[in-house]
Amino acid sequence: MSGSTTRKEQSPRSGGHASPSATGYTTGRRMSSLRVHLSFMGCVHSEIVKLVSLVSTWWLMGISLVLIPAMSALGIWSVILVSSTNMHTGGKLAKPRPLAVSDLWLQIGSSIGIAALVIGIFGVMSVTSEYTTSAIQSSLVANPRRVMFMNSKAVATAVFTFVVSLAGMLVSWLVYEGMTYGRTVTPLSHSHAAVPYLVIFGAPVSLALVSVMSLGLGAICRSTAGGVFSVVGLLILLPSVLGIVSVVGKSMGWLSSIGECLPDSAIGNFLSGGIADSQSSGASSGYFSPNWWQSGIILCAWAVVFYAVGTVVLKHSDVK
Amino acid sequence: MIEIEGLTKRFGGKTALDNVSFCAHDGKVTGFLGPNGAGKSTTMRTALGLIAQNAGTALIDGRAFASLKSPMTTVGAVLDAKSAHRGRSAYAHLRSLALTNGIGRKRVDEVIDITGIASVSARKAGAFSLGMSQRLSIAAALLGDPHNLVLDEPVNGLDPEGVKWIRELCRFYASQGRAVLLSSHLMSEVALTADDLVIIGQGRILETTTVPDFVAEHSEHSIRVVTPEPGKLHDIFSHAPQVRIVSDERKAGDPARGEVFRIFGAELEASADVFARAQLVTYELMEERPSLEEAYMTLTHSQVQYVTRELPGERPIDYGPSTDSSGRETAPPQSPGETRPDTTMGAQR
Repeated sequence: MSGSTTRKEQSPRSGGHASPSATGYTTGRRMSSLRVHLSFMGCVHSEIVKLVSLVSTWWLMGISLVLIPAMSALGIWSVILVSSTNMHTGGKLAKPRPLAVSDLWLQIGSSIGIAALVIGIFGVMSVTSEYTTSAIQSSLVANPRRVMFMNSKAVATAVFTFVVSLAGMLVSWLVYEGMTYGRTVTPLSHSHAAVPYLVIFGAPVSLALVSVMSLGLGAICRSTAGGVFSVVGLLILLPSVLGIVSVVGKSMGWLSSIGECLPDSAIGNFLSGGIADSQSSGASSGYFSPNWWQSGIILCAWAVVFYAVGTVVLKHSDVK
Repeated sequence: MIEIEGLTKRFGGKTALDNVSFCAHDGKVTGFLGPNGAGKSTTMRTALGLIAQNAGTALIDGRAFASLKSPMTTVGAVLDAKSAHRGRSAYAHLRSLALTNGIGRKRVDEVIDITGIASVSARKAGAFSLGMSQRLSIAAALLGDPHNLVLDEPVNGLDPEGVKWIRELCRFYASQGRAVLLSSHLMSEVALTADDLVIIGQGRILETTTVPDFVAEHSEHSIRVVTPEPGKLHDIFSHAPQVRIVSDERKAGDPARGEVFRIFGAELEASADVFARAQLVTYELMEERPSLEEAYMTLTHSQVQYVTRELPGERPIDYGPSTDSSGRETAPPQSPGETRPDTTMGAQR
């Protein structure tokens, strides 16, 4: 190292003798393994520092923060538009029908689907960026316990996602209050009184589960392109394909059951909090159609399964 | 102390490591040498738990790496220059590694100063040159002030000051009673830095020895002579059966005229005496001391994994038969695009 500042470690060259511990090459008992050892909270802190230090994190979080209220606003606006449209003539009504609060919250809840895609990319990248930049080597040499490594990553990613989504949902709530100010509304029925709280707090939980699921997908694929493609495939392509196939094969009612169990439907059903269940006529074919809390469990299952598989794959893979 | 015992690893059909066993002792710098593709990096990564072995054990201070309570104070490893996220600043990279083991900010700053990257610590690691990235990797290795150092080509990309610094660092840590495992291709550096040598070729350990022993055992000491009277030279030694005269290629420092010979089996002073009495004209007379590079190449010549084609105008490289550690003769590697006549065992050199 060429000398840049006059520091103690240069004094041996100039004839003096600095004690080794003063220069940092040895640390005496400062770095004894009693004080300095692996800990889970240390790993979580480390993962949060890793996420915070990347520009891509802030971009993705910023996009989510904007997207969630924007999609809610779009949904609310569509409800308002319908309520002031004459159903028979298509023209504008003189006096708009009252807005159903249940419809509004339904719209806010279904705005999460798009944000789930962004969060999915965030989750995938928090693992695959380590592989593509070979940073996984230094990470696994500092912490060779791979399950702890994945768990700390999952906690950090989920917490980040939760905080940002909650902020987005609170802004959506403000948007809702702003857009419905002064309009006549039919309030929620008693059985659905807790739906707003479900949407505001359930959406961050759903997105945190999506981030954990995509973390698992990223660990399985270990390449950004593969991970992002599997997230997009699961959240958008697969439902589209099932929708097309179920139109073609009308007798295959079980296909719509499968469609209801996919993550995006599970999120939407969960956040509807029973409103959609009571509104819809039910799947006419009589096949399994999960209600809102069953959808919540299905979403958990998606996250747990992919995360577990991802952890196992990561644990046994070689880092060449 | 790093103890490797019977390590075996196969990637698909190819055996990358075949029963590799050696020990890097405390208080010594162990030089780990071998041609490209011999398995040096694979061995180090297996010892650090990055690659799972098929058989054998690798113990660091008596325990498997994954079971250590404090990995960063036990082992510091420099495996690859580029092992930081390109978009992350150097400081953030070191801080994130330090936090996993509960190491504080003060130590991160200290390590940045030690390696000399203080002026670029806020810059993103993707903007670093090779030398800076290497220093960052070394900084990460030194964070926990580890008892063992595993260095895979640490001087790759460093300027001469940096190379000297690494050499002194290794020697300092060895003098403190720590174990240093150093793999390198710079023979001159290894000769100055290492105490023990482990030589690997095609996944097998060829030799475990110390530097002076290895140099003495594997290379022959010779006298280099440039003379315009080759016939006279041959006559002088015609009655000495133990002396062998071999003609050699002219090197850059040799005189322009005269023929170049190497004499094996003769002493310098006795030869000078004899030449003077026989009135042999010599333009150059010097003793060639064995070098680590020569000794290493003699041993590993036939274990080379990646065989290059000879340049236009050069003779095809003859890898010759060589013996492995058990004394068996193994087949020499083939240069691409050449069919070599079968060199049977027992063919004369």
